[in-house]
Amino acid sequence: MILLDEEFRKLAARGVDELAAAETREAVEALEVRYLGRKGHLAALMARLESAPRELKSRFGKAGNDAKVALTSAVREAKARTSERGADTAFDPTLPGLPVSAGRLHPLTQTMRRVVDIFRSMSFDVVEGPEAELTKYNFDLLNIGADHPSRFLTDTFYLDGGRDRVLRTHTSPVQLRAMEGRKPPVRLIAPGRVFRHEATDASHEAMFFQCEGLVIDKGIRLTDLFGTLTAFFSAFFEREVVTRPRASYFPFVEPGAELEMRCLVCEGKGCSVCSHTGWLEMLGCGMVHPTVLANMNVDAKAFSGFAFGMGLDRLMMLKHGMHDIRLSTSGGLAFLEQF
Amino acid sequence: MLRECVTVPPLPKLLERLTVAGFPATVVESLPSSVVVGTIVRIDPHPNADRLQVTSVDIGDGAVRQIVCGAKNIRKGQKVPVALPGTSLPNGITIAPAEIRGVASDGMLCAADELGLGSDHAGILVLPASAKLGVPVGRVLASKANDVAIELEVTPNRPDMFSIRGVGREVAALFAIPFRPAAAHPTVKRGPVGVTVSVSAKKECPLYAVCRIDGVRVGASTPATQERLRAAGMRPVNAIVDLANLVMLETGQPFHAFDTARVNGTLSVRRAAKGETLAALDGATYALAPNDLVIADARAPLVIAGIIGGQGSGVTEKTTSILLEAAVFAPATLRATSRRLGVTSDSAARFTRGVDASVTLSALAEVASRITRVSGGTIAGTTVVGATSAKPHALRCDLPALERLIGTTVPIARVRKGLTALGMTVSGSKTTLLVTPPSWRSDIRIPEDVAEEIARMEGYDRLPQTLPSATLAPATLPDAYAVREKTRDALVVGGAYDTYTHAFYGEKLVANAGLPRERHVRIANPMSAEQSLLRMSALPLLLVAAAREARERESFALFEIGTCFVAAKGPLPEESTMLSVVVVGEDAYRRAKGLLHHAVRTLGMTDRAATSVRASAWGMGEEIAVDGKPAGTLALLSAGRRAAFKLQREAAVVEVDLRAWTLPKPVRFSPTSAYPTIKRDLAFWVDESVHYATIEKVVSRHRPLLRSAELFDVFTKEGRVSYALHLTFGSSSKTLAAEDADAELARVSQDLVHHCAADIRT
Repeated sequence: MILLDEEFRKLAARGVDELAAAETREAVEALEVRYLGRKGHLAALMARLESAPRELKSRFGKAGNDAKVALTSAVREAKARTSERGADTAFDPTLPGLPVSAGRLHPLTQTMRRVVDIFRSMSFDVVEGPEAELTKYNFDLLNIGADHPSRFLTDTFYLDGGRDRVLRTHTSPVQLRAMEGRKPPVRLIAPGRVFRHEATDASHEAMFFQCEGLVIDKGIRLTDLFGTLTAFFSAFFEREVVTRPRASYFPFVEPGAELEMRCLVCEGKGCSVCSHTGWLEMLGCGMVHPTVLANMNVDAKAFSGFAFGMGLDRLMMLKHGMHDIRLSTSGGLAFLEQF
Repeated sequence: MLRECVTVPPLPKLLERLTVAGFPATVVESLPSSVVVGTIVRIDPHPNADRLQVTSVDIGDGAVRQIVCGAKNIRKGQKVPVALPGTSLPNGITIAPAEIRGVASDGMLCAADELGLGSDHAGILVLPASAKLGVPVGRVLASKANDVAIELEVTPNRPDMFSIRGVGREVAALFAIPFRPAAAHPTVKRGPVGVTVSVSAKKECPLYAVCRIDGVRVGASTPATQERLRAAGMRPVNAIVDLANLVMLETGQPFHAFDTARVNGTLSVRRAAKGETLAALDGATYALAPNDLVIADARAPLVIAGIIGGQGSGVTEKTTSILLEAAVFAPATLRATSRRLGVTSDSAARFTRGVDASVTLSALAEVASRITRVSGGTIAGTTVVGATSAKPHALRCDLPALERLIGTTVPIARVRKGLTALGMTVSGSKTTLLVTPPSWRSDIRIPEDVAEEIARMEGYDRLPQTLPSATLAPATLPDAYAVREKTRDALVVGGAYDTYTHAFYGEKLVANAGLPRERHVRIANPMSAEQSLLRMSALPLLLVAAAREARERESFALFEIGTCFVAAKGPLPEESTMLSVVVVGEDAYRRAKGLLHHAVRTLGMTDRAATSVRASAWGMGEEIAVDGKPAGTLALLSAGRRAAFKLQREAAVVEVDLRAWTLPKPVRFSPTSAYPTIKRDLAFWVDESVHYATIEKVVSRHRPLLRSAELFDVFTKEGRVSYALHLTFGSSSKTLAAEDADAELARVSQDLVHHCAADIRT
């Protein structure tokens, strides 16, 4: 003969198993009625307690209570499991995560770091120079003639008091300063802020950032310049880019060149980003002019070198699809938060 | 025009090769595509204006547009140019749907001048009857002209490309096809011109030639000439001026024509005298400076040499005799004058870059002979002062060295052919190539210039791309750079946003910020008064941005790391890399201080840094010193500063000269204690005159048994401040007994009572 307490245990075990197997809310509710309902299995067993022998009543009663607790908690778990909200109704796992109070790096900082990282991986030293510069470094030693238009007041910011101090118009003077304490072979980049006497609009700023590059060694070739830059742009844009060097003129290089990159947006078909030419002008570059090499105390017979200067703001704008350079210096959080 | 000297290659190829060779080339779009062919289907009188008519125009799109027109030459059935609403015309007018004297007008019928096709405003341009409705007018005119205009960007080293002949020669060389320059090379016949020609400024004017033509009749030039000038963006004037301009386009040699009757006795090339002025053809009167070069007669300057002519001496309809000038002027002199006066012209564009003196006389003879053919007259004679250019010298080039510089080898025959096609004389052997550049290529001065020519002829885009071989050494980074970027990271982790502001500001911001005006570096030629000073602090512009953001946001932090400038005795201003932080919102000061401490800790300077109370121009706050040297300030922005910047919330600023900061040394590990700690809270009142720094000093005397003291609550009430601290006690050698901790806590309390008159609350 099976005692009532054993029946309670069996009922609880069966009920817990069935509830655990129930897959829908409706099934759980049906089981709840079947086991815990007013006319359910548990109630039926409880009814038999009345007629149990007195000495066993408390033992049976405890078993009955255990069964009720087990079934009730099994129902709660099964309900939580089959409910859309997941577990306990007091816990809402869909609430948003608490904000982490970190700031963000400006996209220009991110661009500059990426540029520096790529060139460092190619063994380029980073060097820096002053932003207010002597005309000697900004123009003279770079073979920029005394009446060259870039020296005009309408192109270059001069500091008050004399005409020998400017806000550097490019990062090229850093080359000259760096070479005062170096001998070839050198590989260096000079990232930094530069200034042009220009009215501000969506694509022009009186102040922007450039990265200069200089390599001097035995046997440096024009083709090395193009290959190095193509490798850089492929690394920067994280894809194989197509570049097109074309002839150009800067007084401090010879041969001089500009490097164009097939438009990343239209793949060369022509779009508004590339002014329907299919190509993006990326930078000016060339083989360091013998006069400039001499100004660096480098023997132009033994060594050759290349130099380039790229606009970092432009790289940033291309990378992030920005159309207005002015956002960059706005200090606007709506802009800064995006990066 | 290019066709006359070279067989023009297919357009896309032509544009590409010119671009790669250094002359970015694009087709000039003559008219917007929204100027289309329409036909006039009906003309009605305007109900409210006698001079206007109301036309109904069909552009082939199924609708009939009503357009009001004032021209008298329109007839029903004519094909005319219709500028649809939204069109921006070459003359700057933008067409919009409008109501003209009470009648709606949906577009505009265009006259030739409105389309930038000359100055004819006599009536609407009537198109050929064969023109198809709705087709862009630009295409109709182009197909009629059977030509396109190409625009080249020319670098300043290539003035020869400012002529059709120069471009033709370049195209012929690039495509290795024959170059057929103008067949005749007329020569000038020297002879008196009736006025004395003198050149006193020989350095600025090495060559000056004047040709006199008598008996001319000044009329319009031929339609073909006019069309060519328009295609080049020039306005036809009369046959003499037009032919001079046309030959200038062809040869690159600018001319100027004087009316002989309006020249008094002499033509002298001289520097302007002080106080002289010239009423120029553009209607302006220019005050001349002693460095300006002028052509003057016995009375006054007639022309600003090579830049612009005067009103009183030019060719008019009444002119019967002309003095035609062709000269070479020093580019630098003209550049200075052109810049100073703000005058540019087609002539100035060429002179300021450099004119090939070897073509001057033949170009003068050419234009004189064409003028006599079109305008009649006879050449009286030509006076020449000065000499044509000096003989260019040969460059000795080591071809293998040039090939090494380029990075590729080129067969010697190809090198010779390419350089020869560019007009150079090539002799010598492969190891010593002798290259003599032509007169128009004064930019070829060193063997590297020849290397560029060889590379250009090969095509930069066809060269292989290689990577340089190198001795690999670890790349170095300046400490200052690393300090900057580490600091940046620390602030970003702490919740501040990295940003960049301008390097300039003006007097107003300097006043708002209370900065010393005299320590600023001034820009000699600022864009505006608001950008006339180099910043000595980045805070003013950060505060401007913060004030704007504070209207929308309760709480945020912005920072910039960048160069600031202070006037200095040396040749250059003193530059410093400043960290500038603005924190806005509740508890701004303590948040700013937390950011600063976090950065100091990240840079490993905690033990070397100390703060001391010190107010600054920004407000109350502290100074931070590293190794005893001042390294930055921290301030709760005063109400006055906040008002000046219209910042409506609580704010704090930090400013640190990062030159004082260094990179962290490796952290020295200290063993962690294996014994448990005991925590106790302590709360007490002190008078508000007691700074927390004093409390901290008292409490910290109880180290090392007191491991740490963390302030977790602070509030002020009736002149007293309540502080609540979490205190952690522990020993590094044993498990601390609760009684020991409580005894130490009691001693801390006693000290606070004794030194700070604290009223212990718990």
